[in-house]
Amino acid sequence: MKSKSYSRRDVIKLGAGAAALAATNGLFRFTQAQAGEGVKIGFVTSLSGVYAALGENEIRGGEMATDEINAAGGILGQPLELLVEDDTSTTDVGVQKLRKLIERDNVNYSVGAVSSGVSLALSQVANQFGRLHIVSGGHADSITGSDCKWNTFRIPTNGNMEANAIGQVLADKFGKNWYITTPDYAYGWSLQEAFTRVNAELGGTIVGADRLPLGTNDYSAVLLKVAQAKPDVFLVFQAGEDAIAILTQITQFGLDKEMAVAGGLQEWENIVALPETARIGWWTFEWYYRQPDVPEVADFVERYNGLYNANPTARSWFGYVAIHSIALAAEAAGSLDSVAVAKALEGLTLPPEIGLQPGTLSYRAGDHQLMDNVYVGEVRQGDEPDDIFQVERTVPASESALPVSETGCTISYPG
Amino acid sequence: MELLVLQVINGLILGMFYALMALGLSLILSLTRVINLAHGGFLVLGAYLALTISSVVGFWGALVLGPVLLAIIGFVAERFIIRPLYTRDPLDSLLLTFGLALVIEQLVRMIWGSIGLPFRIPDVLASSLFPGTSFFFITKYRAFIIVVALTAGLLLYLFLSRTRLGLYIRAAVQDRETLSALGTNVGRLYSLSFALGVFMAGLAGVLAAGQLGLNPTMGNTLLLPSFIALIIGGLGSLIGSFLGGLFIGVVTAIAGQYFPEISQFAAFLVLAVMLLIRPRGLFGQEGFLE
Repeated sequence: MKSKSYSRRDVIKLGAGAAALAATNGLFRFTQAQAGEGVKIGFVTSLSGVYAALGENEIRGGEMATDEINAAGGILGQPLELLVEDDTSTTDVGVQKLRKLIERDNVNYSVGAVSSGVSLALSQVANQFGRLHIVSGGHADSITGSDCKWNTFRIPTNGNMEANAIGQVLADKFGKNWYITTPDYAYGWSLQEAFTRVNAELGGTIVGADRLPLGTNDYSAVLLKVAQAKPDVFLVFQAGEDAIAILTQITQFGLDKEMAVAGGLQEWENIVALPETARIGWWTFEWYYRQPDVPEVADFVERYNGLYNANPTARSWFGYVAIHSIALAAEAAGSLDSVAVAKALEGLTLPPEIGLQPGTLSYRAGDHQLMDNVYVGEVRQGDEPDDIFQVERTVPASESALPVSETGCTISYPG
Repeated sequence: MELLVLQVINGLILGMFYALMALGLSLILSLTRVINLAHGGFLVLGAYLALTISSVVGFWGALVLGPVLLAIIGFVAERFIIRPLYTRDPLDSLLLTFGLALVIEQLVRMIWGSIGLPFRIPDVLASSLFPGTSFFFITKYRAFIIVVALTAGLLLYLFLSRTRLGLYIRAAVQDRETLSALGTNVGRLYSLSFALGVFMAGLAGVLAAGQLGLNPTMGNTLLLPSFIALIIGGLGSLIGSFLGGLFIGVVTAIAGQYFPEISQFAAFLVLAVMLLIRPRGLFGQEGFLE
């Protein structure tokens, strides 16, 4: 094998080539966005990587909403354009993509992501540039807690809401001794904190808690520990593909026969990726396509099916609500300025054909959390192949959400 | 104490998996000197191919045919994509296999979608071997993985040491110029050993699918520990890479018991220590890549 050493000339050539390539990135943008030329929303979410399936559905909902808004005349008479970027489920790429959307594409507002870590970073970047940012997918409590910002609004339920909603149900049904496994990052920690607090309030015990790295594919070590600890409820907070791996292994070991398996948030996309034997447990959902008591849902589901030949999930709903919320708030504010739109979003009530949930949903002014329901229920196979969740109770945000004073959030507007 | 023993056994089971992957990597590296970063991609492709054909030939058929199909793809890939780069800097083929891994991941996403897909293992394997005891974690499926990995390793050893073709391959590893000068088509041997290595990856892919389900990124997290196993076991030694895999499995399991947060990192720690004290690995040959 001949070995080739790089001469200094080669290095210089390589460097010049790379610089030239980077510079041409701007060359292909022949049009600069002018005022009055349309409204742009940048949507940064996972199209590849660990959370790809979830991000894809967020985009579908967002694009459906964009088409509806444009069919109705756009935002303040201007056409709406949705610019989609892939954060590859990692923070550094997500930040880079949002910067590009803001600095080069001049988006008015941004929406994103799936991962809480990415969401936190995106909200910070958007804040630096004074842009409104809707969190369409991150669940960590700090997003509307200690890290809350004037420009950031969040749609999904947060860890505290989920814990408050399901905690009592689990204690009543199965018992108060819980074992927790959680992914080792912001989302996982916040869930662990929330459920530990709820457990303490219920007078229970946490018999064990383990934080595991994202992307762990073999959970046998921790499952051995759980089996030895014999809790009443085994709380599993893993998300995305980690959830699939751990649930598959739990059922292969037969652990679900020894104890109740439950957790906070679960998502349709994760459950259908499981073999049928592993579709178990008590979880919270944030939205479900079968809601017989909310008439507008059936119509939404039908239209979504017409576009994508699949049923919408909570993620689709997030994307849908995010784009519509921006449009509604801009119309209410009568302006496209981010500060004005943000102020209009505070307290904004979603009309039923967008809320698509029991009760009326609005964004709380104190922390910018959408006051949506938590759907507590059990995963089981229903009569349709897609029907894998049985809703036991929808818990309204008035019951599940922490009061603003306890979230650690203070919002201050610039200037 | 009992828990520690259980974790070690658990780790050996996990390690069988990495051993299987490391075997394939080692085989490819020994002969073609290619550091096959696309090995994880082939694992994923093998898993998805198995899923698709399993609807026709069932799990057992997919277990045998899937890796064979993949080996054919590997053979072709080596012949037309990788071979042209043999005369160049080893970094070039490294870059190529890296790019190939990305392409395969995207291809899988395009053909089968980004959403995870379930893989049904036969009911006969789906329960524990010792239910209700401390050894409940030894499911029949995991025992099956052990059997497959050991069998594959043994068959590979027999192939290389007892067959004529195996003899040619070992000769090529030792001195390819002379072998070529003696009139053997060394190029075909390269393709064959690459295909064999990829066969291992395909086998590992089918087995992983039953354990983890299928998703386009499953190759990445499985590839890294396998590479570490390869280096720890020693470059140029097949038995080394097998044992390295077992070792990494045990280390990961024990870390999972006492320090779960670093369970993924533990293998890298071991790698760092090994590179410091004995860079050639446990059974490796000195100066292998020169």
